[in-house]
Amino acid sequence: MFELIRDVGWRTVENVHGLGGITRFGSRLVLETLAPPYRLRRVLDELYNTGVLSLAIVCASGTAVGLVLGLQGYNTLVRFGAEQSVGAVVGLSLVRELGPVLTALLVTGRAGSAVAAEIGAMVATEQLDGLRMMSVDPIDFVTQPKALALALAMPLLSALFIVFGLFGGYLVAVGLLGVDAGTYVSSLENNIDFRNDVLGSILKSLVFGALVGLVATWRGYTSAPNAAGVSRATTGAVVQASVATLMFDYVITALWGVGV
Amino acid sequence: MTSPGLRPDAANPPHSRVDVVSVRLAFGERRVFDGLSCRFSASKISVILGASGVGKSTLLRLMAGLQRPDYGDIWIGEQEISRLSERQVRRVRRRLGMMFQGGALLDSMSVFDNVALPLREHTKLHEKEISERVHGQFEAVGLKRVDALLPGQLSGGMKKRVALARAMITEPDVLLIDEPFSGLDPLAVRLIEALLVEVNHAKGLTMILTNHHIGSTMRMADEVVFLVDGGAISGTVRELKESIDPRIQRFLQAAGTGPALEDAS
Repeated sequence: MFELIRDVGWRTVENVHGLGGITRFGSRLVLETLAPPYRLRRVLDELYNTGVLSLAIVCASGTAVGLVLGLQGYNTLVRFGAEQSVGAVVGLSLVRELGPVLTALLVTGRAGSAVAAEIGAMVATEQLDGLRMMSVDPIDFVTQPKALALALAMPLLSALFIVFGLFGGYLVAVGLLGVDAGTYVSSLENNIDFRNDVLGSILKSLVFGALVGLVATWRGYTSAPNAAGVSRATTGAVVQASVATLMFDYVITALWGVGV
Repeated sequence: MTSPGLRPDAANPPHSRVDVVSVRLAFGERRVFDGLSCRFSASKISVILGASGVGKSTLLRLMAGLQRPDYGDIWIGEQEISRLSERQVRRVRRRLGMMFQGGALLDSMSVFDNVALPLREHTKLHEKEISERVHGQFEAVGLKRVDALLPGQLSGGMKKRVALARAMITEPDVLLIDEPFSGLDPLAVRLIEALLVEVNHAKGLTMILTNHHIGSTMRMADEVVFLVDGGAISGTVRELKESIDPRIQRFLQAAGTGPALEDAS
């Protein structure tokens, strides 16, 4: 019993310590982003790594999700004789929820894990210490461009995911199930509101991008300097960023909804 | 912590180029240094010797400001660094160069960009001047046509040379070198050894190495710091050889340096 209490105590202290650590680290990232030198070239390189290299997976997944939404939406709506609203169902689902959330999960798996592994490997091979010895701050030089690139890439990738999802829904609804093309598009147009839906979607993907960037760089930066440490950092980055994304999704949805 | 025939460290005042004074350090339950004091004279080649796990690399990291002691002082010239903020230590590090055991070259950057990085970060030199200085450094360490190569494409010996070039590009006062001969064949060991001695003579910088290669230590060291039992025994190579301290004797015998010691001297 005593050991259990002690373990719970230790874990609580560790978690509070970790929370303090990631908060300080996040503050440093923000400060380094705002203060010169602005490492535009490095941010562009990282945008390529996280954004451009994620394009294929995001577009393919977006199309697949749109196809499923179109099919499921039609099959459900047809029972109520409301199959003409399939465009609105596909659009609202993608713009409000699935676009930002699924893109964040996909980018976490592809780019977030890669970022954590790369920084972890740099810790293990003393590359970050090498930078410190050159009086170069590794948070400024290595982690900040990666985190910023993830935050910037996420809304763009999410927008692409939504566009390809809408296209997938169109293919199924119009091409396969015989819904009128004009009805599909006008249903979309009439039901998606810019402020409530589109701005909320952009806000969500920005927050998710910042979260994934923060968690991935933090896990890599604080990893143990060995192979097991890199492995733990990579797994931890994916798990923590995914869970954080889903939790923040609820918070933003609730707050954004209250504000309407 | 004194030893017959060797200079007691605690008696040395902290006025030399690098001084470690009464340092204590523990990782959890494991105590690495317990009142360690030693001095590394300016413009000399000092070699840190000791058994595996005794704290040789940790001592280098302390001097580099990459590790903080639990207690004690680390002096780089007239500057005590153990209680400085990271930002202040960064300023002191401009006078230091460090060559890591594995090179610590940035994987994603070419060899040229790796060596040019400190100049691009801390000087306003034009690319042409940077190129001239980098190529001058390449020449000094015997490297040719490596500009566009990535660190992953280099052999162990070449990596060490690039790491040395990068450590020296800002012309530091003190060069810290972690296991420069590990993983190298005997010929490469001799080449790197000759290179380090040449650099020391040419630039007159303070060079502090960790090394478990006794032969090269005997050939190149001006001073030896032998780490043992949480402290250090310092002296010249001759003093080390003549020491009757059983811990040093055991170490040298285990390294098989009886005849080699004589050859080296």
